[in-house]
Amino acid sequence: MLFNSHVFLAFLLVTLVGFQFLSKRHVEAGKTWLVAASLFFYGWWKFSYLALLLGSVCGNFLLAGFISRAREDGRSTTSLLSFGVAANLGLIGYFKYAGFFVETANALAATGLPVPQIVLPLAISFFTFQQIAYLVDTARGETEKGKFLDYLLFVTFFPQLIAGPIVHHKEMLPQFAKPQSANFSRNLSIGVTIFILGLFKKVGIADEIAPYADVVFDAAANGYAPTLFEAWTGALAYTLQIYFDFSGYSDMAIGLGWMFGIRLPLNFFSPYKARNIIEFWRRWHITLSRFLRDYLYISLGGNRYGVPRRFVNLFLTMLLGGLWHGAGWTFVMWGGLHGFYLIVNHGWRALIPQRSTSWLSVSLSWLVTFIAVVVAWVFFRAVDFPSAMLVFNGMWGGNGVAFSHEFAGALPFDPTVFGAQLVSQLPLLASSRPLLLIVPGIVICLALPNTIEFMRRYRPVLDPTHVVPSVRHRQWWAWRPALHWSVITAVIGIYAALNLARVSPFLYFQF
Amino acid sequence: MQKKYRTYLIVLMSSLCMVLAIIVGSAVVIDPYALYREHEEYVGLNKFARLIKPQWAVSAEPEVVISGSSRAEYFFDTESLQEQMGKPVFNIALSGANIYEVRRHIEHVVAVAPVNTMIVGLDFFMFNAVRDVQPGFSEDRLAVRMNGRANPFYWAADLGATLASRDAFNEMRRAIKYRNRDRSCEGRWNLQGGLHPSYFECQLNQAAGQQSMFRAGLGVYLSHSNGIFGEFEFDTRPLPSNNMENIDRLISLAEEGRKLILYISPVHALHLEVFKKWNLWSEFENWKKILTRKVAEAHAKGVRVELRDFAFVSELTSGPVFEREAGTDVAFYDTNHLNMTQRPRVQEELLGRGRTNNPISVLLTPEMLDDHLASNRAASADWNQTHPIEMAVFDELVGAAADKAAQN
Repeated sequence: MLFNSHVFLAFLLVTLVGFQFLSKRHVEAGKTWLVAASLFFYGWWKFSYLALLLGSVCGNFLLAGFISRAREDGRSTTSLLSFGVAANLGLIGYFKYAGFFVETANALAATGLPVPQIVLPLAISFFTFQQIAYLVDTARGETEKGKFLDYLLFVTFFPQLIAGPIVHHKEMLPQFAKPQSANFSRNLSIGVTIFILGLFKKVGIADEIAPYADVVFDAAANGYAPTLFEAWTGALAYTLQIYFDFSGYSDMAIGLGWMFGIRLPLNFFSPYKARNIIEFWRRWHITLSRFLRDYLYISLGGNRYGVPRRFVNLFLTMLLGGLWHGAGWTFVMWGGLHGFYLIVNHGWRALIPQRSTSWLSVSLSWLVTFIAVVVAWVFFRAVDFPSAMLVFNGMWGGNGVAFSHEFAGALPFDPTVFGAQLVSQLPLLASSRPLLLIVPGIVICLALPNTIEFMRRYRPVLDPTHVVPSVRHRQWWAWRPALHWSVITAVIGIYAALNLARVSPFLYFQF
Repeated sequence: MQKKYRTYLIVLMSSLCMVLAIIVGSAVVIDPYALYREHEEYVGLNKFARLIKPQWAVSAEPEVVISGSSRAEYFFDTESLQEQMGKPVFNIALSGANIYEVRRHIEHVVAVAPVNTMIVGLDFFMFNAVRDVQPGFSEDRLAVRMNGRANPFYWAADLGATLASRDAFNEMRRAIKYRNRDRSCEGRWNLQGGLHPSYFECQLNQAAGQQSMFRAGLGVYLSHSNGIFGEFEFDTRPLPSNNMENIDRLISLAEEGRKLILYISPVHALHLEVFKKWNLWSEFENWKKILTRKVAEAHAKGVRVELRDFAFVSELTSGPVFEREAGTDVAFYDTNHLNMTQRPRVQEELLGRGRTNNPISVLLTPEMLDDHLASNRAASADWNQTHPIEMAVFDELVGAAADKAAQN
C-alpha cells in the first residue's frame, strides 16, 4: 500500500478514527489498534511475509531480553549479541543479497550456480537495521526495559515502516509509552499539512519529472548512447526525481506521525543546498547516515587509529551504505564514489582548514558538490555499468551533441555552427518541457525553504544532527493555522489528489 | 488555541472535499469514459483502453468474448458478430498485449459475465520473455487475482482514476469540446469494446497511404531494440510471465464447459519475412507445434477447443504491396492489421462457415501440422523469389534498421 494511493487514504481515515476513539478511552487499546493497522498495512503488500516481520520482531525482542538479563547477571553478552547480529544479517543476506552473491560468484568463477528467485520482503533493510541497533544498545546497557507492545509498535509503526526514517528506540519508545492523543486538532492540522506537502512533492513534481529520467536511462539500458543534452537531461531529471520522491516521502511519514501524536526524526533537509559532501550527508537520509556512523563506522574503529585507517573505515562504510540501497554493483559504485568524495572532502579540510566565505568560493563549492552528487546518481539509477557509462560518457560530450529544435531556438546562438545536431533520438526530450521542469525544480531545491523550515515554529521533527536552524523571528512565509494557509493547502491537496491515480512506487520503497 | 486549529482543519477539509465532490459529480454527469450512461461510442486515446474495457465488460455481460492484441481489437466487427452468433459479444483485446495480459483479461470477463465462447487471437510476439505488460495494465481492476481467487474489490480499483484524477479532468474537457463531432482519425470504440478502424481508414484516405503504413509497420518489427523481435526469447519463465502456461489456463477455462477458439492472427507475407530476418522461423514453427499439441491434448479429453492458423502464405496474405500504384485494395492496412473489408471472410472462417476451396485458414491438428509447416515454408520461399520488388523494399528497411542500431 503506497502513501500516494486512494486505498491508503481510506486506510488512514479508518486507522485515525479508530485510534482516536480507542486511545481516548484506553491508551493500550489505542496502541494495539495502531499495531494491528500497521500489520494490516504491511500484510496488504504480501500477507505471507507478515510472519517474517513478526518472527523478526519476536525473535529480536526475546534476544534483547536474554542480553539484558545476561548483562544484569554480569555475564558476557558478546555471544548473544553476535548471534543476534548474525541472525539479522543472515535474514537480510538471504532475502536481499543471495541472488546478487550467486550471480557475482557465477560471473567471477563460472560456478554455474542457480540464481535463487527470492521476493524481497518489503522494508527488510529498515526493520533489520532498527533491531540490530536495539540489540547493540541493549548489550551496551543503553536501553530501558520496555513492553512488547511498545517494541512491536516501534518496529512496525506504519508511517516509517516501509521507507524510513530509520528510527532509533531512544527516540521512539518513550513516545510510544506516553502517546499524545490530546491536542488532536493541533496534531491533525500540522500532520495533514505536512502530509499534503509531501504528497504534492511526490505526485506533483517527482512523478512529473520521472519520465524524462526514465527515457534516457531506459534507452541507455538498450544500448543507446545519449548525447550531451540528453544525458544531462536524464541525469538532472533523476537528480530531481529522487530528491522530490524522497523528500515527499519523508514529509508524508512525518505528517502521518503527527496525526498519531508521534514525532519522527529528521531525515531530509535540503541536501542540494550543501556546499560540500560532508554537509550533503548531514542533510540526505540523515537517519541512515546516523546508523552507519554509530553502528558501522565507529565499530570499524572510526577515527581512533589514525588518518589512513579513518579513510579506509569511511570508504568501507560508504561502500556498505551503497550496498544497503540495493543488491547490485552500481549501488556499490555509488557508495564507493561517495566514500571517495568524503575522503577528498576530509583531506581538503585537513590541508586547508580556513574556509572562505566569499560569494565565488561558496558558489564554486556548491557547484562542485552538486555535480559530484549528480554524477553519482547516474550509477545509482542505471541498471548496469555499461548503461551508466553510456550516460556518463554522454555527459562529457563523448556521444556527440544534439539539441531539441525548441531548445536550440531559445539559445542566443546557432548551435549547429559548433557541430551540434538538432535532431534528438529520444522524442520525449524533443520539447522544452523537460527544461521547464528541471530549471524550476532546481530553483525550488535551492531557493525555497523546505517543509521543516516552513513548519519549524511547531518543531515538526526530532533533530538528531541539529541541522534545523532555531526559530529566531516570525517569518511571513512560515505556516500557521490561518485561513489563507488552509486555502493554499487545500489547493495543493486538490492538485495532489487529482494526480493520485497514476500509482508509482517510491524509489526508496524496496530497500 | 484549539479553536484556531479546528477552524483551519474545517476550512481545509471542507474546501478539499467540496472541490473534489464537484469534480466527481462532473465526471458522473459528463461521463467522459462512457461508464454511467448509454453512449453510441467512445472516442478517445488508446491509453485508456486498459482502464475502461474491463469496466465496460461488466455492464456488457457478454456470452462471447474476443481477446488478443490490436490485431483482434481492430479486426472484429462486434455488432455483426453479435447478429451472426445471436449472443452478446464483447471485445477485450488490447493493443500490444502479451499473452499474460490477454489471459488475465479473459479471466476477468469470465468472472463477471456468463461467457460461453472465447475467441482469442494469438501473435508470436506475445510470447517474448522481454515483452512486459503494457503501461496502464493493473491486476487490481481484474475480478480474479493472479492466484485464481476472486477479487471482490475490483470495482473500486479505478474509482479514483475515472472520477477524480487529472486524466479524468482532461477527458471531461475533451468530451465537452469534441463529443458528437467527426473525429474519424482518432480511435473510436463501440461499447462492445470493438475499435473502429477509422484511424487506418483515415491514414489510407488522407495522408500516408498503404505503402507508407507497411513501411512504418515493418520498421517497428525490424527495429533492433523495441522488445518485439529485436530481442526475442521464447518465454519459459514461471508465471506471471508470457509463457505457454497461459494457454493452459485458457484451456482450463474451456474445461468448465466453454468453447475456446484460438487463432493465429493473419499477417502479410512480408511480416513472415521478419521472422526469417531475425532467425526466428524455427522458433515460430516450434511455437505453432506446442500450441497444436496443447490443443490436441485438451481436445482428446473432450474440451471444446480448436486452433486455427491464418499466419501463413495464402490468398489473403500474399497480395503485393509495393509492386502496384499506391491503393487501398490490399487485404491489410499494414503488415499485421487486416483491412476491415476482410472482416466477413475471416469471421466466417473462425466460426467454421468458411469456403472449403482456397481457404485462408487451416485448422491445426498434430496429424497435418508437419505438412502444413512444410508447405508454408515452401510457399514463403516461393513468394520471396517471385516478389523481387517487395523484397527490395524489405531489404532496404532491414538496412535502415541496422543503420539506426549502429548509430545508437
